[in-house]
Amino acid sequence: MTEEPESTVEVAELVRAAAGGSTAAWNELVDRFSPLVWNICMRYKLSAADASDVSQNVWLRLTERLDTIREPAALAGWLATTARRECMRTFRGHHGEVPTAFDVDVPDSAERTDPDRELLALERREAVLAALGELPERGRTLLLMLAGDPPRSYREISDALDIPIGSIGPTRARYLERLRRSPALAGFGADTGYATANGGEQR
Amino acid sequence: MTSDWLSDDDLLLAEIGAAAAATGPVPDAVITAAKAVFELRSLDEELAMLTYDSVADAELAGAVRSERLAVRSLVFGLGDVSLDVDVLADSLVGQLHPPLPGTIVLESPTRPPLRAEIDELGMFSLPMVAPGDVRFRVEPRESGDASAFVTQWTRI
Repeated sequence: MTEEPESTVEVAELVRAAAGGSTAAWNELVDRFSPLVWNICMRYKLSAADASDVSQNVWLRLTERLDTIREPAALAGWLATTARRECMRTFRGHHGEVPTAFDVDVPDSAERTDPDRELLALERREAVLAALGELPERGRTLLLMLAGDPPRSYREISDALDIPIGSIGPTRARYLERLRRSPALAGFGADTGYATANGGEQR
Repeated sequence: MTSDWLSDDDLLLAEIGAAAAATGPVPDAVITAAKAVFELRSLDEELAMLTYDSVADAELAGAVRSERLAVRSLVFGLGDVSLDVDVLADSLVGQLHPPLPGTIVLESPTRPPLRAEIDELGMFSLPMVAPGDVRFRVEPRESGDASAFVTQWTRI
């Protein structure tokens, strides 16, 4: 069986390369983590224009921070914290008040009835998106195709990623395992992990 | 303790699906804009950090609606130098401490830069621009590059 070639470039290397002036590395960081930033923008009741502005602001400010971010968990945490703060400021500018957790959107109505569950679901989704950013493009694409509603067939995935149908199962398992080991998800459910580390992040 | 959703392959995939569905596709224009800002990074320039923002600090203090300030005040600091900017309805007025006559440049990712004079007292006034990201570049007349600096990007 052929082991598929894959990029093993880590987020920390991308950050270093971008700090050194690599446009390609910067673009890959955007591809990996723009869903995380956008997810946070979508949770606040911002117009599409405001959400776009917040996103641009977050990435602009990252250009000033590249030298100071040393590990992947720190990058995702910094992006999330900065996006959240800017969303809150925008929300406050429009409404004159600080949003509460219940002003954010959750599409799943079943979770609305329970505020604790709702918050946990939001935190989980944010952490999952942060963790996905640590996977190479192939891994992200594979998992997102499998996680689609409805999921894409193995045939479609095989064609799209150019891998044999027989190796999709093992590859799926391998990327899910990598996802679990990511700093964003490590220890999730215990007292440590993304949510806690994230809360302590300062600008 | 590890949660079931994390240890079970199918549940973890379901979480990925839920996260992707809640986010939706990131618009192409948003990704393009995020990639484009890399060209705007400041290289080898002194960066003045935002040290005070009346809006953010009011949030931290738990200010309520009635306490909102009509004027947003920003302060950028770099060593002993500070740049105060008040965001008014029709203009951006500010002062450089210590005063150093020269030029202040208002930069934005999408618009041409605007320039104004910094007077003997360090005061300047720029026209208000459409809301968005801006940064201020200070170019003193006399001392050249040594005391030039640029501020952090800030959304006004």
